[in-house]
Amino acid sequence: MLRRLAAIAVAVLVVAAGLAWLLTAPSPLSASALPEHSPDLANGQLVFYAGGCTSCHAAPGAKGEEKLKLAGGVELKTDFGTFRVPNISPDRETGIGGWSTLDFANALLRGVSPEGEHLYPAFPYASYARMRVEDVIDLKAFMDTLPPVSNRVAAHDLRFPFSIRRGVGVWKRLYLSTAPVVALADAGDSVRRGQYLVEGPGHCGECHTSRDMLGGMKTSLWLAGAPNPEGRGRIPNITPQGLTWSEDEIVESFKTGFTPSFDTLGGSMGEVQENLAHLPDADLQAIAAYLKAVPPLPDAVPKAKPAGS
Amino acid sequence: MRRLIVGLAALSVVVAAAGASAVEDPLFTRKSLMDANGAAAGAGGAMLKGAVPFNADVAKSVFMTMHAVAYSYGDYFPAGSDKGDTKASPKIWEDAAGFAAALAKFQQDTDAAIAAKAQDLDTFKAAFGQVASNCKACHDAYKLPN
Repeated sequence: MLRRLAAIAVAVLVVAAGLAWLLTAPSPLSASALPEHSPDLANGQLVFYAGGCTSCHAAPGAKGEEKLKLAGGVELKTDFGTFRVPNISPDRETGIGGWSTLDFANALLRGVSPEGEHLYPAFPYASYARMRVEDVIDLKAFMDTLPPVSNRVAAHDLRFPFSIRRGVGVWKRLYLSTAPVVALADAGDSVRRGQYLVEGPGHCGECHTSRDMLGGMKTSLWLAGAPNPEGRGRIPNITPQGLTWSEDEIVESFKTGFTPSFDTLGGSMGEVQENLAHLPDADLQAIAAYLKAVPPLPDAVPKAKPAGS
Repeated sequence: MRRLIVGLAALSVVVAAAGASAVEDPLFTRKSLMDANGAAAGAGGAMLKGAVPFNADVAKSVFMTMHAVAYSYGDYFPAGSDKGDTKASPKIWEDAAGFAAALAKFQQDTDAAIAAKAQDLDTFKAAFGQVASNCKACHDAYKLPN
């Protein structure tokens, strides 16, 4: 009897382990998922600036041409451990110069490396998964034209259990989706374009939306602000209840870096703004139109009482 | 246009009124000064965008306001005033020489902008751009973003 119980227990464990293995398996795109598409470099450049690749992958504080050197190496200290930003310059040895277009699409759309392993979602593929595959192909072609930089970046240094890459498979089951975040009935073309830019390549929600304990975006609090991952203060609420600027004022702030009261966009948003300034006016207007169309929400993070008072 | 000029006149009153409590309340004073600076920039920006027509007197007023701010602002960061409801970065005190240099550059650029005596939009635009370049440079270094 005891032996039979033990045998059943072992069988259950084996099945459970097998199921867990299956459930956490990376699911890369097949080669046939890539459409026939001749890359459009100009659009690739637009996607590059909409995606803000330089903000994390170039050297901090880089200006001008230096921003196009995506050598990585920045350390992101998080509750899960230290992430090291990889080299995504087209260097064959230390960058992604050896990647095929399919490899690149898998990284952005599925969070899967060329070796078939999960990438960690510090790389915002939870947003990039919403990108059009043609845009991804164009982006790859544009990034291939950037200067290769030889810089070998060490591996991430994460706490257990986050150090187990396979576990990211569970995270993806919970949070990875290609569906739009907000349902916008009767939205016009401009709002839809803005939705695509904000929810997809722009990955605005990654900072402007609060996260749960597992680091997934709380989409019920979409764009309602979040604690500042870099320390003090908070990332602002940019739903219509938090961001009361007019659409024109929002566009102006993207173009010039000045807020309507002539403060400057600072911190990480300063970097984002420098990228956004490269986008055509119509796209900036689309982003502003979308921000006015999302559900208005109160601040997810209340304004802190000033220290020392 | 008249509304703009009245607005700017009101601003100089704000700047003057700030002086009353300047010593007791450096946070209030420096915020009021920067608000005045921002409002002056707003008036300048409105002319650049064509929202209001160029006017040489308004242009002068814009730079005079910024000039007054540039030469007084730095006096309202006494030791200990990094506490409270402020976005002043600790770097203001840690790198006092750098902050002084940033202020000096702002001062010189307002000097030059006034000396340029802009009589048309193009001249104003050049001078304004030079002065406004100080905003982001100084904020990125010495103001907390969030």
